Amino acid sequence: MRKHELCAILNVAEDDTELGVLTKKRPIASLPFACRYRIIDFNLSNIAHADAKSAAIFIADSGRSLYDHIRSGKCWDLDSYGGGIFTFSQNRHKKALYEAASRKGDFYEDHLAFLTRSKANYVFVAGSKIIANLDLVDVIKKHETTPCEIVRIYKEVPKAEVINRPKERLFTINDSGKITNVVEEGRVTIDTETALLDMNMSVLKVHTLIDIIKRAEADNLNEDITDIINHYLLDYCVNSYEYKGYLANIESVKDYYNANIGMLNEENFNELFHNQLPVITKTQSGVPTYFSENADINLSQFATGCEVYGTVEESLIFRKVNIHEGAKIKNSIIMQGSRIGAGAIIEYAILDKNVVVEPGVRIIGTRDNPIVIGKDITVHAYFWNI
Amino acid sequence: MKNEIIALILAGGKGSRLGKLTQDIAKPAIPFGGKYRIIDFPLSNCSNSGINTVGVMTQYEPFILNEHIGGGESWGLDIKDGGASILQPYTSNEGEKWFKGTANSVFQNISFIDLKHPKYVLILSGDHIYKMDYRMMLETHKKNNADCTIAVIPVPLEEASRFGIMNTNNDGQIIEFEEKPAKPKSNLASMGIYIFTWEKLREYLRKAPDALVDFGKDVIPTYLRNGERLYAYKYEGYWKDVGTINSLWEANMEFLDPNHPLKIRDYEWQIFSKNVVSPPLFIHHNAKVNNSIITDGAIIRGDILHSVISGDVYVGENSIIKDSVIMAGTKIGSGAFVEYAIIGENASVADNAKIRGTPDNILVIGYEESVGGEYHEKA
Repeated sequence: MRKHELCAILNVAEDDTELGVLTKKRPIASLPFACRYRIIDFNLSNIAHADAKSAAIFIADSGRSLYDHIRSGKCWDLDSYGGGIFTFSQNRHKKALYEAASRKGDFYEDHLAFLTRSKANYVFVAGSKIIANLDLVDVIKKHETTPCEIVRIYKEVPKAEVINRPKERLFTINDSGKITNVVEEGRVTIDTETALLDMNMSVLKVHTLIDIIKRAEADNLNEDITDIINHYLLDYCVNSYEYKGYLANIESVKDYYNANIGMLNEENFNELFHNQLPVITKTQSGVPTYFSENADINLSQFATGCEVYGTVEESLIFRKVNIHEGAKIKNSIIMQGSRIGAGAIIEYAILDKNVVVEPGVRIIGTRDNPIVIGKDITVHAYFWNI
Repeated sequence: MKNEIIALILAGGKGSRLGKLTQDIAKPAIPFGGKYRIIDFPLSNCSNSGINTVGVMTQYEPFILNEHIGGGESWGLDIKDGGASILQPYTSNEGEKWFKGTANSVFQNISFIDLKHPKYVLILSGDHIYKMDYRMMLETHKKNNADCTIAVIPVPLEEASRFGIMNTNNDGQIIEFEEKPAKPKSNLASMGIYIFTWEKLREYLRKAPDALVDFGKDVIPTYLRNGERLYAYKYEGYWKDVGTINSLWEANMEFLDPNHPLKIRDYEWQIFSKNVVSPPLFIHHNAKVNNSIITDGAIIRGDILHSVISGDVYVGENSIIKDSVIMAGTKIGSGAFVEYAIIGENASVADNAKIRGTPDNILVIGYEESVGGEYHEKA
């Protein structure tokens, strides 16, 4: 694609309350995923493969973990002349200030400055809780063939995946692929086997987005960019684009657990990682992972830098994890830098970064209710069970 | 200080004793330990020692090496007043400048070195595996007010006749240098690592460029004859020459030991390499992995026993990989048996193929080579 054809605005200020301690000090976008990635890597890779040169990221809080990960954006070729990563933090605070003072105007000045200076023709706007490996070049191609102003991306999913998920939005589309209705908050009674799940990802002309922003300003609507697009969506001609690859939707601890463990399903894993568009992440200088004489491994994934002396079954082990002699890890997610002591037993658990599990400790959750151990915690010899 | 010392890595050698493994790539670019190339060790040592300007002299099959090194960003060398530069023979008014030897390659790059204005130059070879703090060697060099300091390593006296041996006085000053002596007088072998005070070396090289072709054979003896101050810097640690197929295999097998003296997991002195992003390592049902190291992107369905498996390697069901080194991107079908072998990058091994070397005679499959179902054995 031509240089500067596409830019992106990523909103990483979504509601993360159901993720508990996992998102206490990081947005959903910087949650570690699949042994070595962060969730934002997927959207950054999506735009990198479409040759985007600049991206704006709107962050609810400080964004420390995101800055640490993204740095100059070099890994995604977002550090070239005329482009760049533009980060805007403390949006929650900004929103509160506007609300408290009933302030009007200029709420979107960062968005407008970014869009104008990007010199791009199209903008990709997305939230951060959906993981997908998307071919944006193909989406833009579709955009160019229709008179519509917005292309919106959806996936057809089994009914079960959207029932009891009040935050999901479902589409109705007509025969020509145009979106005719949006049902919000899962209030729909679905009488079909599948539903068209909104992925909260749009591709639109930059001038259309500027138009939407001006309307929001006029209506004194100070919201996340994804929310104002949704607010005015059906006032525009919206074409649909069907995404057929693997999708994970991370809203709760259970979603997060299932999406990670779901990588052990070869089909999911290959759809996400072994297709034409590789997922790019920050490069790390890791050493190969070591498996000892007594290591016993069954259906598991590992990042680099681990030392494995124990048993690992149906689990995901992130970078630099040490698993000592006799430790047994089953159906669990062990994040970077954690150390599992000799003889410890871990089942159905999520261990955040740098957790230390002392020898002999048992941490046993259930598939429906995995135990989460927060970052940097040392687990002493208590019996954790629920 | 701005470039008090710069490093020059001699990476031009052909490494002909490595057979197929150096057919298309320079010896320093040979993969090692599942995710490194040999040159990562001197490059990382430079970076960890705070030496930020590194010239890499290549001439034999340089492409993979050049691509690997780039501007040195993987080693953190891409900073202001630093950087890795690939130095290749070039044509000038004086005619073609093919490197004739180690000292000659430095002579031919005098203009590069002059651009950097160093006080000292560190000369390294690109074919050893070790960790070394060059700052300490430089301190010794300065303290002795030396013209040249040579790093030496104690070797067993009975093996000393295979090396260049330095005979020193009690102060560590070198009084004699013997190349592969029949009756060695000491056990201090030259590691091919030199620090020269640049002004003096420059003068020598410019005065007699045709006589001073090689450091060991020409420069060091001339310095000694002329009474220049040569000192030995004693290094005691892991140092491995991987000049032959068997020594490369052996170094890889030693690397499997989690208590290896290289301490590869010591993040205070990291060995950096060019990183490619691959998905996590995937170990399937019925696979077995023991006494092995495995890198990102590998998909393992068979048994990996005491082996080094590099990135993006595929091993099919019911295959057994034993005491072997599998380089990146290689695909091994199902039911294959691989023992005492080194398999080059991006090779493919068909289903049910048998590849068997012996501990004394390691079988090598070349880069991108395809091996059918027939029997490969080396007696």
